[in-house]
Amino acid sequence: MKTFSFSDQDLVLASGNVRESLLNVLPSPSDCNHMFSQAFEETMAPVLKESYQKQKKHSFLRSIAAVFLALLVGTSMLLAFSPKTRASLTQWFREIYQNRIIYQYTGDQIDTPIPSCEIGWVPEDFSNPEIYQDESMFSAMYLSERRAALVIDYYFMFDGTALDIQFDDAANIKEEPVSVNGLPGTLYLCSDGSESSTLVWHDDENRTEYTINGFLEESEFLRIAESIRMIDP
Amino acid sequence: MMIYLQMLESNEDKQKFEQLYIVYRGLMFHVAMQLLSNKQDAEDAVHQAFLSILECFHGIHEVRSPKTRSFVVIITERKAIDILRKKSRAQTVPYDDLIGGVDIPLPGDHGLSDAMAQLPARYREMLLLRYDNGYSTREIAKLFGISPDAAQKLLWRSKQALQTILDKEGINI
Repeated sequence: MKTFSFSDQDLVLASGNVRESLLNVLPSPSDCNHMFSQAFEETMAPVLKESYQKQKKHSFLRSIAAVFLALLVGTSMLLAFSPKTRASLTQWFREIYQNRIIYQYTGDQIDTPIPSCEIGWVPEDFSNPEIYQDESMFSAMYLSERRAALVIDYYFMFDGTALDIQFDDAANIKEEPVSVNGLPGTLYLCSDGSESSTLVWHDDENRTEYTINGFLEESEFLRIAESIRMIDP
Repeated sequence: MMIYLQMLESNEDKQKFEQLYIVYRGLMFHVAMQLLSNKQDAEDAVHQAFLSILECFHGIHEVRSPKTRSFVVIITERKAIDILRKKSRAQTVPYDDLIGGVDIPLPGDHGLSDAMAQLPARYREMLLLRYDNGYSTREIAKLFGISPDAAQKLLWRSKQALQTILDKEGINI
C-alpha cells in the first residue's frame, strides 16, 4: 500500500501558501492593460452570451433543488417521532440538478481513523490496485486493458464533506435503488455506456459513505460492493 | 422559497462571468505572454481559458478574491502550455508533466509548501485546483480537457511527485 506523509489538510494549507506566492509574483489585474484585438473581442462575444444563458439555467435548477431540499426537510419534520429515521436524515441529504447530484453530509468530525478493508472480488480484467488511505478516506484504483479504471472509495461523513456526482448527459442515466448487505444505496447506471456509472451507499451507523465508479454491469457493481469487508484496527 | 431564490440569484450572479472577464482578462493575457511570447497565441490562450471557466463557473463565488484570481491564472497557464506543446511538436520539448510554467518563488516554509511550489506546472495546478479551490477531479477533468480517469491518475501522480521531493530533501511533515 502506498501512503503519503502528508494529509489532505496539509495540502489545503500548503496550496494556500503557494497561491499567495503565485499571486505575489504577478501584477495586479488593474495594472494589466492590454488592448485586445478585434478578432479576440469577436470570439468572446458568443462566449459571454452563452454565460448569461448558463447562469439563468443554473439559477432555475438551483430553485428546483431548493424545492427538493424543502421537501426533504419537510419530510424530516413529519418523521420527527422516529429517532432512527431522523438520525439518517440529519447525516446526509441529496441535492438534485439536471446533470449533477450532490450528497451533503452533516455531523461532527470523527476522531478515530477510518478502518482499512478487504475487497473480496473485482472483475478479472482489473488488477494492480493503487491504494491511498488517510484518517478519513480510502481509495483504490484498479486498472484494466479492456476498460477504463475502476475506483472504489469510502469516506467518513461529517460537516464540510460532500459527494459530487456529475453526468455528461443525465438522459442516459437510470437511477435505481439497491441494497448492499442490507444498507440502502443508489446505482446511477449509464444505459448506453457513453460514460461511467456510479454506485453510492451509506452506512449511517458507522457514518461512512461508499462509492464505486466505473464502466461495469449492474451485477458487477453489486458483487464488488458486497465483497467489501472492513477490517477492525 | 423557490421564487425568492430565483430573484436573488439573477440579481447577484447575472453578470458575474462578465465581471470576471473584465477584471481578469488583462492579467490572463500577461500570464499567457510570459509563457508564449506571442500576442496572438496569448489571446488564444485567454479565449480557451474562458471557455473552460464557463464550464465550471458555478464554483466561483466571489469575483474579486485571491482564490478566484489564482484560479483564472492557473487555467490560463494550463491553456498556454497546451498551445506551447502543440506549436512545438516538431521540436524537442519537455514531456508535459515536466514543464515548469509560471516561476513561483518558494513560500519559505522549508516544507510542504516549498515542495509544492517546485512541482511542474501540471502537478501544481492539479493540487491547487483540488485543495485550494476545492474542485472535484471530475470538474478538473473538464477544465483540463481530459477524462475523469486521467484526472484521477494525475492527482495520484501529483501527490507522488510531491512525496518524491519531500523524500529527496529529507523533509518530514
